Amino acid sequence: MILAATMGMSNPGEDAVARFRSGDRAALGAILPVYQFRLYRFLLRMVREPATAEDLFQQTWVRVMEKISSYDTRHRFDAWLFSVARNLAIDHLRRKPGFSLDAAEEDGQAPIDRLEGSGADPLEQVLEFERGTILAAAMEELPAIHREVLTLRFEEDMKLDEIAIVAGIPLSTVKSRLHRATDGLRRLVEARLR
Amino acid sequence: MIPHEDVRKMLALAAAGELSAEEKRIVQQHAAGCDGCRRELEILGMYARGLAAMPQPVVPEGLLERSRLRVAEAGWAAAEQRSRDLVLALVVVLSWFGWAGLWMVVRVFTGGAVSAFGISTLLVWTTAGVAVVLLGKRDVLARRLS
Repeated sequence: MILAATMGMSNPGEDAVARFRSGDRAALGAILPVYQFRLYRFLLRMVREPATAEDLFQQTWVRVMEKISSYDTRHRFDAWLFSVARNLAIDHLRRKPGFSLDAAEEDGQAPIDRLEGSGADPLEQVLEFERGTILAAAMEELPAIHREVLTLRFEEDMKLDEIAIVAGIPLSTVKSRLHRATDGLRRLVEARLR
Repeated sequence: MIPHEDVRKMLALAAAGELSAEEKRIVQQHAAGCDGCRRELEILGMYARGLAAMPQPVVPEGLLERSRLRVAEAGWAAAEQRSRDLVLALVVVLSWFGWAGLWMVVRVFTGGAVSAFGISTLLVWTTAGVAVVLLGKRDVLARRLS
C-alpha cells in the first residue's frame, strides 16, 4: 500500500535525479536548489540550531551521493531524501547527553481526557495576533519525533504513508504520533498564554 | 454507530485531512450532533492551518555553494580512498607474483636448498612495509597541506 501510494508520482528535478542515479555527478547541481529550502527547514525544525541544521544539510547531500544507488525509483525521491536527512538528525540528537527523542512527553493523562472540558480555547486569541510565531515557538518545545511528524505533515504536506516511509515506522504509529503531537502542541500553546 | 471516544480519536486525523471519505462522513455526522467534538474539530483545524502558516526560516546565504563544495570534497576523498585501495591491492598481487617468480629462480640456482618460506616472508613483509610507510607519508603531507 505504501509502495502503491508513492509509486508513479512526479517530482521536481526528477530528470536530474535519474541522471544523478545513473552516475552523472554534475546533476546534483540541479537537484540541490530544488530541495534546498524544504530540506533545510525540515532539519532546522528537527535540531532547532541553524548551524547544526546547515551541517546536517551538507551531510545529507554527501550521504545522498554515497547512497544514491540504493535509492528505489519506485518511491518518491523527496521521501527518500528526507529519510536520509531524518536519520542523520536523529543520530545527531541521540548523541546529545541526556537527550531523549520523546522527552517532554506524557503526563499520564490520555490526550482525549485533556481535550475534555478545555472550554474556550486560547488559540482563538492567538489567531488574532501572532498565531504562527507562538505556534513555531511552542513547536520547538515538542519532542523531536513530534516536531518531525508535524513539520512533515503540515509544512511538507506529506501524506501519512509517506511520513511512515521517511520515519521508518508503521502507519499506525504515525497516526498516533500526529494525535499526540497535536495534543502536546495545544498544551504548550495554552501554557504560554496563561 | 461509532462510539464518541472513537470519533474523538479521529479528530486530529480529520484536522490533518487524513481521513477516508467514509471516516470523514462518520466524523461529520457525529460532530453535527455533538457540540464537544464539533468545537474540538474547529480548534484542531485552526492548529492545522496555523502549522501550515508558521514563520519560515531563512536559508543561510551561500548554503548551496558550501554544500556543493562539501559534496565535491567528499567525492574527491572517496575517489582517493578507492585509488589507495587499488594501489594496495596491486602491491599485494605484485608481491605474490614476485615471490612466485623469485622462488622458481632460486630453486633453479640452489636446487631447492634455500627455504621458499623464508624468501616469501621477507619479500612480502618488506613490500608491505614500504607501501605502508609511503602511504603514511602521503597522508601526513595531505593533512599538512589541507
